[in-house]
Parts: sequence; C-alpha cells; structure tokens
Amino acid sequence: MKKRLFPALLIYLQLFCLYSCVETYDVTYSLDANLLTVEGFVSDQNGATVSISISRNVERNYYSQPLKGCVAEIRSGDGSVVALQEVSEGMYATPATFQGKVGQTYQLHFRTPDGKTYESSKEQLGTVPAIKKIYQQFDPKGVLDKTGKIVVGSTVDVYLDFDDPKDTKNYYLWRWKRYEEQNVCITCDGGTLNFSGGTCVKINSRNPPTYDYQCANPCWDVFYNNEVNLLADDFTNGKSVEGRLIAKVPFHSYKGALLEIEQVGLTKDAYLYYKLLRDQSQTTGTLTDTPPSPIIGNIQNINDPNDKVIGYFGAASTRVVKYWVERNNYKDPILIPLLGRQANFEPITPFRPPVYPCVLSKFRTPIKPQGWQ
Amino acid sequence: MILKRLLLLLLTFCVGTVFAQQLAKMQAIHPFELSGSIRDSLTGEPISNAVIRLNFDKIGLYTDTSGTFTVMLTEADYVLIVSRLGYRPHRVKLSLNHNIRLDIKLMNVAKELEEVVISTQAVDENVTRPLLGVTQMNIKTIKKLPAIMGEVDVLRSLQMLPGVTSVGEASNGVNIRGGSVDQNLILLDDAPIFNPTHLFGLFSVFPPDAVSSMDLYKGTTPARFGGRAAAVLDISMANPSLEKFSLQGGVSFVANRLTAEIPLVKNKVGLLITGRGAFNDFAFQWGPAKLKNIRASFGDAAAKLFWRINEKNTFSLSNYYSTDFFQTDLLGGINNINSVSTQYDYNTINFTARWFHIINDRLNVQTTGVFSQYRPRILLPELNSDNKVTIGSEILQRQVKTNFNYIPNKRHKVEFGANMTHYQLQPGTLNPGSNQRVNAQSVPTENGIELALHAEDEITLNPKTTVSVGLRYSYFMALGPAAVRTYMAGAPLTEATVIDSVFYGSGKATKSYGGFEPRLGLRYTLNEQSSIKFGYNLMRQYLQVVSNTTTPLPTSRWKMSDSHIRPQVSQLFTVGYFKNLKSNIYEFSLEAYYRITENILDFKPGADFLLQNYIETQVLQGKSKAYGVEMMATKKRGEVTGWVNYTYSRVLNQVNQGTQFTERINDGKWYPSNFDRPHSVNMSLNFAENKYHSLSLTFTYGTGRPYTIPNGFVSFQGKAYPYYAERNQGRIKDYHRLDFSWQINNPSLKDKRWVGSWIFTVYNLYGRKNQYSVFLKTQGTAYTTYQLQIFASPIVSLAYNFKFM
Repeated sequence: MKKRLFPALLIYLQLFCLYSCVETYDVTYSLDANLLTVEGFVSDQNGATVSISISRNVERNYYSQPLKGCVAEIRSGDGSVVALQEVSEGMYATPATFQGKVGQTYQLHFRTPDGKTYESSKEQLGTVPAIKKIYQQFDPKGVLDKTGKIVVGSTVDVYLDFDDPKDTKNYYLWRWKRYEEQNVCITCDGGTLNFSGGTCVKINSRNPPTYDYQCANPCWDVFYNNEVNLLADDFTNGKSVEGRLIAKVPFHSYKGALLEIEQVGLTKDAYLYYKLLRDQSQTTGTLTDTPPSPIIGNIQNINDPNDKVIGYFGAASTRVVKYWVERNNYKDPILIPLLGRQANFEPITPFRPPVYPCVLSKFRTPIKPQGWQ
Repeated sequence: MILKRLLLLLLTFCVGTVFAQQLAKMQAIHPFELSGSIRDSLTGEPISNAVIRLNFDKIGLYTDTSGTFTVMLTEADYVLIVSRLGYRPHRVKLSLNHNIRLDIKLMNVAKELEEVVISTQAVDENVTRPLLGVTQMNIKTIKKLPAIMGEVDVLRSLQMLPGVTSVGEASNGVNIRGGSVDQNLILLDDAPIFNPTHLFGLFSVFPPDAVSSMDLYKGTTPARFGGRAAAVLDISMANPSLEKFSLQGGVSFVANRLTAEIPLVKNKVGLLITGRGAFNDFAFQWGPAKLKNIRASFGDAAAKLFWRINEKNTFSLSNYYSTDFFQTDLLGGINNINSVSTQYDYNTINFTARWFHIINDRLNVQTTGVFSQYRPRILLPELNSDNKVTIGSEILQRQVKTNFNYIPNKRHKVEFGANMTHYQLQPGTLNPGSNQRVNAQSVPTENGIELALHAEDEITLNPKTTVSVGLRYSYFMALGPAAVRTYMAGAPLTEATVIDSVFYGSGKATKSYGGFEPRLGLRYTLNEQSSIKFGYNLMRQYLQVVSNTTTPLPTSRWKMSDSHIRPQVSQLFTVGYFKNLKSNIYEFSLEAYYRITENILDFKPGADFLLQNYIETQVLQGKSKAYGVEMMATKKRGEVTGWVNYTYSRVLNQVNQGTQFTERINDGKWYPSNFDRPHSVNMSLNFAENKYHSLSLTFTYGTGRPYTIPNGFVSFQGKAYPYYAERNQGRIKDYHRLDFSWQINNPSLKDKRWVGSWIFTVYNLYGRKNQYSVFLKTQGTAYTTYQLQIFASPIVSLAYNFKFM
C-alpha cells in the first residue's frame, strides 16, 4: 500500500497545483479610454428609454458621466419619427403614448452637443413566448465566498419554463428586479445621526461607533440582476425549455421578496452582442477562453467608422411576470443579513434615536411595489 | 627599480607559495615517483600537452612532446585525472606507496559515435547539403532530456530547438518559425496526426519506444511534402528487427509502456508492437473536492509489420491508435443542455502501407497508401439519467502517393512523384440521445481532393556549389454535395448579406485552387569547415483549424478551403551560415528567415464555430509575417555534450478585409500574434562520465506571450465590463525553467539479457512560478486581475525502463 501511496500522493500534489494555482496578479493598466456608451430598447410593453453616457477611464479608475443635451429620435420602419425627451441627465425616453409594435423596425438616431451624429442599425421587433411556469428551489449552499470553497449563505433559486416556438429562431435574455423590505435607511459611519438636519455627525473619539437608523416610513430596496443571462434556441428550436435558472435570491430573512422577471426576445445581432458582453466577464484563464474582443454593438458615427461606440440599441418583445419568493419554509438556512452584517441601532435614550426618511432612487423606494404580500 | 623587483618577488611568492610549500613538505617526508605515458587509444600516438591533475587541484602539469610526465609525491591516495581537448577524460584512483608508472590510453572523441544527434544541419552532410533549417533529432537524444513526470515527449523536446515555441505549458502543438499549430504537417510513418497531444497538451502522442527518427523541416522543405504552410515534422517508426526478439518497456507515475519486436519469419518478416497507457484517475479521487469529478486517461498503441520480400522489395504496414478521455465539472453545459459534467473523448486511427521497390542501382520507387481518421467528441451526461448528449466531429483522410528516387550520376540526385489525397470532414453532429428537449443537428459533410505532382533535383554544380531545385504543383477541389451561398458584393459576409444559395451535387467541384510551389536550396562552401546556404519555399494549405482560443482544442473545427475560404499561401526566405569546428565536435549555425503568409484565418469578435453551417460568416482572412535570427552551438561528442541556442523572432498579423469594424482586427494594423515571443534561449547539457549514468540539465527562457489588456471599463446594469480596444497589447511575464534528470543504466553493472534503468527527473528545478495566463474578472463594479500558473513548483518523478534482448 505504501508503495502505491507515494506516487499517488505526488500526482495528487502535482495536479492540485496544475489546476488551482490561481492567484491575484498585481498589474496596473493605464486606462485611458473615453467611450461613448449607449444602451436602450424599444419594447412592445412600454416605449423606449435610452441612456447615453461617457465611460471615462483615468489611470486605475473609471466612472460613467451622463451625456446631457443630445438630440435623439427613434425612426420607425413605417417612416414615423418619435423625438426622445431628456427625462433625467443622460436618460432619453419616448412619450408615454409611444409603444413598440411587433414586426416593425426601429432605429436610434442622435446628435451629441459637440455635433457628432450617431445611428444604430435597424432592429426588428420580434415576438417572445409567454413564461409558462415559475418555481423555486432551496439551495442551502447557494452563496460561496471568493475562493469558491466556503459556504457563506443559502439561496432560494428561481427557475422558469416556457415553450420555444418552432417556426422562428429565438434569442432570449432575462432580466429581473427584486424588492426586499428594508428597515435601515441610513448608516452613520463613525458618528450619529443629527436629529434635525438628517445628516451624520462625526464623533471625535478613538473608536467612534457605527450606528444604523430605522426608516421613517415603509421602505424597499431594489436589486437588479447583473449577470447576462442568455439563451439561443439553436439546439432546442420548437422544444419546451424547462428549468431555466433565472435568479439566486439570497436568504436575507425569513420574509419573502418580490421578483419582477422580464423575458426579452432579442434579435440575433443583439443576442450576439450580449453574448460578447457576457464572455468578457466570464473568463477562467484556461486555453478554452475566447480571447477578449471590443464590446462594440450596432451604433455607429455616421461620418467616422473609426469612432467606436459601446452598447446596443435593440427592439425587443418582453413579457413581465411578478413572482413572490417564499423564504419561510426551509430547514436550517444560513442567513445573510441585508446589510451584510447585523444591524447596530443606536441605543434608546430620551428623544433618540431619530429616524431617517426612505428616499426614492433607482435602488430604493417608499412606494409599496405592486404585488407585495 | 628596487620597487619593481620587490613586487615581482612578492607576486612570485604569492603564486608559488602554496604549491611550493606543499611539494617541499611532501618530498621531505617520503617521496615516490608517479610517472606515465599518455597515448591515443586507436593510433597509439603519444599525446603531448595533456593535463594531469591530482585530487581535483586547479594546478596541474602537462605531458611533454613524448606524451609522458613525472612527478614526485608523498605517500597517499590520489585521484588522477588526465584530460586533453578532443579526448574523453580518464580518471584513476591510486594508492601511492611505491613508484608507479601508468600507461593511459585516451579515446579520441572525434571517432566516437555522436552523443548528441541534433543539429540544424543533417548530421554527416552538415556543411555539404543545400537544405536549410532541417533538424534531425535522434530519439536517444530526446530520451536523455529531462521529461515532465518521466514521460519522454517529442514535442516538448522540439521546443529546445531554435525557432520552435509554443503559447505555454499544455498547448496543443508547437509554433515553428511563426507558424500556427495547424500549419505544421505532422507525419507518423506518413500518416497525418491531427491532434499531437494527450490531455490537452500535457503529453505528446508519439510512442517514444517505437519512434526511430524525427526530421523537422522548418526551412527548405523537400518538394515531396505539401499541404501545410509552415513546417513538416516527419517521424518514422522503427522497423522491427528480423533477427532477434526483444522487449522493452517502462513504468512512470503517469503511464506504463511496453514494446516488443518479434521476428515472425527469421530475416523475412518482423513485427513491432508498442503500447502505452495512463489510467491514473484514482489520484483525482483523493484530491480536493474541486478535482473529485475529474477523470483523465489516455493511451496510444502502434504496430508495424515489416516484410523483406526479397533483395529488391520490402513491404511494411503500420498502424497507430491513440485515445484520450477527460472529464471535468461544468455547470450549465453547452447552450441549454444541462449536464452534470463535460467529457472529452477523442481518438485517432491511422494505417500506412508502404511498398519499396528497387528497380536498379540508380532508381527505386516507394508507393504508400494512407488511411487516417480523427474523431473528437464532447459528451454531456445528463442529470438523473444515463443519457449523454454527444457533439462530435470527424476527419477522414485517404491518400495514395508514389515517389521515385533516381541517382543518374554523382552530380544529380533526382526525386519525383505524384500524390492524391481525399479529405472528408464531418464538421459537427449533435446527438441528443434520449433527450427530448434537444434537437439532433448535423452540419453538412465537406469533401475535397488534393492532387500534387513533384520533382526535385539536387545538383552538384562544382565542388563548392550544390543546388536543390524542386517544384511541386498542387491542385485542390472542394467537392459537393454542398450549398454555396452568394453574398452581396463588397459587403461583409453575414446572414444579412446573403443573396443566393446554389446547390452542387455529389462529386461536383464547388471551387478549385491550385498553383506551383517552388522549393529552392543553394549551398556554397567557403572552406572545408564552413558554408553558406540560401533557401526559398512556397507552400499552400487547403485544410486548417478554425479556432477562437489561444491554442486550438482537440475538438476545434477543421475547415477545408471553399468558395469563401481561400487557401493559405506561405513563402519563406532563409539564409544561413554553418561551421564545424574541431573535427566536427562542435557545430555552429546562424540562420535568418523571413516568412509571409497570405490568407491566414482569424475569427470575428464573438465568433462561434460550434455546429456552424457557414464558417465564412465567422472568420476573417489576413496576412501574417514572421522573421527571425537563430543561433545555435552544439557540442556533439565527449563527456559533456549539449547545445545552446538563442532566437530573436517576431510574428505579426494583419487582418483588414474592409472598412467596417467587424471586418478588421486592431483597426487593420499589424499586431503581434498569440505566439509572438521575441527572445528565446535554450540550453541543454548532458554529462555522461560512463555508460552507466548520466546527468542532464536543460534550461529554457522565452519572452512572455502577448495577451489582451483592457483600455477601460464600462458599467452596465451595475456591473463593470472591461473594454478591450486592441488585441494582444500586453505580455505575460517571461518564462524560464530549469530541468534536471539523472539516468542510471543497468545499476547491477552486469551483462545480462535484462537491462534496467532508472530515470530521476525534476521538472522546474527552482520552482519558477511561470504564468500560464493572465485574466480579468469583475465583481460588481470592481475588477481583479488573476494569474494562472501551472507546474509552478518542482515536479519530481521517477521512472523505470527496461530492455530485454
């Protein structure tokens, strides 16, 4: 036995190294790209919202700067033109009356304040089948740490089924929004909340406390998916697709959460763009990786083909379904608090602690979401 | 003046003091005389100026013109070493308690067999043949190089030569003078090898005990070879002995080997059988959880039947089989096929039949038939089911060729012949098995025929000048049944620009290509020891790999030229200077080359080749240029043998098919290819004091390969995505590594029929953590760069080999 153990042990050590010698590598990129980034959809559910921004990269940092004051419009295949309104900085939207139609083509056209004109390719709005069924499954080991070895928390995984239509090529994208009830509306790092002004005041101390403060009114945090979840029916045309994983909902509490699932039917070109985008962020360092490519979509400067634009303007049929994620029936889940830690409220003293209002933003809302149970 | 004398005295004192003191002391005690004569072992001539050293001292004495020496020494034990340039050193241990006279015969290295049979020139005709960039590597040499995990590896050994590199450890093949992996024609007994490695590049597929010789043509390629653009690696299997039965084999940590040579009819028919297998799965089961589901095994086997029909005819039939199986966890599977793991399974079956006929003293003919099949598959076992979804492909190549050798007189060596190859490619099938949710798919089979005629003459113009003039004409037809699309003129080839599709029936040529392929070599002798050579080559390639990974995978798609994919055409210019020194003990070569290849294949951003019917919509064609200078010095005989070489080389690609972004790479500018590694140094040293043991050290250094670095980041849906403006603008860290091996032959030192040997190897002796790849991952809005390192610590292994004669 000993004789065999020795070589086996060696191979084991070797293979261990062979497959797992992945370390962080300290390398500084000189980031210098300033990229026009455009993103938007014409949908058959509601109109179109297009975001136009510039992704600025300086040394090691990057940020997104909304591009204000563009003149933008959507040109339909039937010759009609709809002007877009700048609803907030860098966000351009169609009037409420506008809605995409299946079979119609749409093209984005805009001029930036510095006079450059851009245009997307013509995108045809296709169809997308309805979601047949949504269901969930408990995964006690759903969240792993960075090393991928230690279980940090449990999840409730949400799956869906649908029937792929036989006569067309279909390309799917899934997006979701998730509402979680939140009772902490502000955290004062190294200080306390000022009673009147609603601002955090620093405490001069060697070990200043970090306190959480409750919300003044009911409040919900909004989460969005940040993985690109795609499917082409190349191998499954006309079949029913079952058990498509849509979201892994962390076990924040035993209370439920509201999930708004959007099934989007893309054109082939849009699908290829999102696939390219997905591939950029899912590299593993092995030789099976596809070397990276510039994430350039279907928007072009009409006068300068070398002016590169990131992003895609698409036309998509969408189906939205709300789904209530139940979290109270599972055995021994590992909880991950919403804050990432236990809340630490300021001790109760006369007139204190104060509360903080729930402020409407992209990531928080005081308005009870439709379908909240 | 006084000062000068004083200094001189001091200097003399300093230098002489130790030696003089010791000598004086010795003589004072009890001196004996040690004397001897040193002679050449063959001629008996006395050897003057041989160095005699005692007890490894730096200071020694020389023999006089009559080859003798005398020294007075005190009574003690001594180790005496006699050495002389060009001779194998002689060591003797003696107890000096009386006057001793030694009679030592030194062996002239120049008359020995060469230890290192590797050279940038053909061994015996080094300076005289007009071929450039031909390297012969003897399997004995390869077996002496330190091998990873004790597995003798032809492809890894090749990378010790100038001009041969790879993208890193575990790459599926080698890059020769700026050529991609699939631009090398690899032949094992004339049958093509489409996938030269086991386990994704860890080991090469050639059974080491059956290989007799290996010729690498990276410069002037003889006209009889064609079909690939860069280089030819011609590996021959040994003919079995017709007289004596023998058995050899070995055991290493990775694989077990056995080779038998069996004379079936004495002096008439012999059979060689060899097999190697690695079934070491069990190691993974003991590994960390992450590796638990990995399964890996591989094997190869070959057989060769050799029949000496009569004095004028011989016939041989060889067969080669190779298989690989690899399983890894992969969640999600391919597209919507949910599988519990991914399995790779690929195998090769080759047959070669060869008839050699001597027509007369000056003319002989060799006729060869080849059958070669390569079948890679991806298997996706489904959850809670016995079903496996299979994605497979297949290459079938059948070939007949005949080759005449004609030597009319001393001034001409003529070779001519013809060659016909039929290719059949099944680019991909998807078999869902019992899975009802996946459709069966099949990409139409491709057929093609390649015809070639060739003639070559090596002409000795005068004693100083030899030229080799060769010409090959190749003609390729892509055959139906096939649907050929027409795209809008001037527009990129995409689904949107298709205007028509024409169907061609079975056997109808859908497109043909052809042309002359001149091969030229010129040698001019400067003097007996040195020569200069020029070479020019043109080669066409009609079958290639399309891949969007750094190195092609075993499952990568092969593609024939057709109406839209033009064949690759490569031209190579070479010039070299060759010199032999000290009766051919040393060899020195300096070569420079420039290569330009038209119609290289590159992939469009986001390309997908899996089960893709119309490859032309996924690829772009461009140009590649490669140039370099290679320097190599070899010591071929003696106690210490080896070589050292340095190469400076560049490989640049340009893809500029149109003005649109999707039709260019890096805006149509030249950019470094994946295997552009400008500097490379290789060193190999072998110390063989006697035939019982030898030590080897190899060192290799190379500039890190290029990889793509981000120029910026963009944020999309709350997640950061890197933006890569241009391909291959960064480089991973430089690669270097030192390996060591110690070979002990026949430890019992007895002459028996069974001879065993042990090989102890340390790969990556100083544990250099070489980067294999650098990649980027984003988490939310943050990004982290990672490096993947493989074989990042010293890998120790022990192998046992035996021979039974």
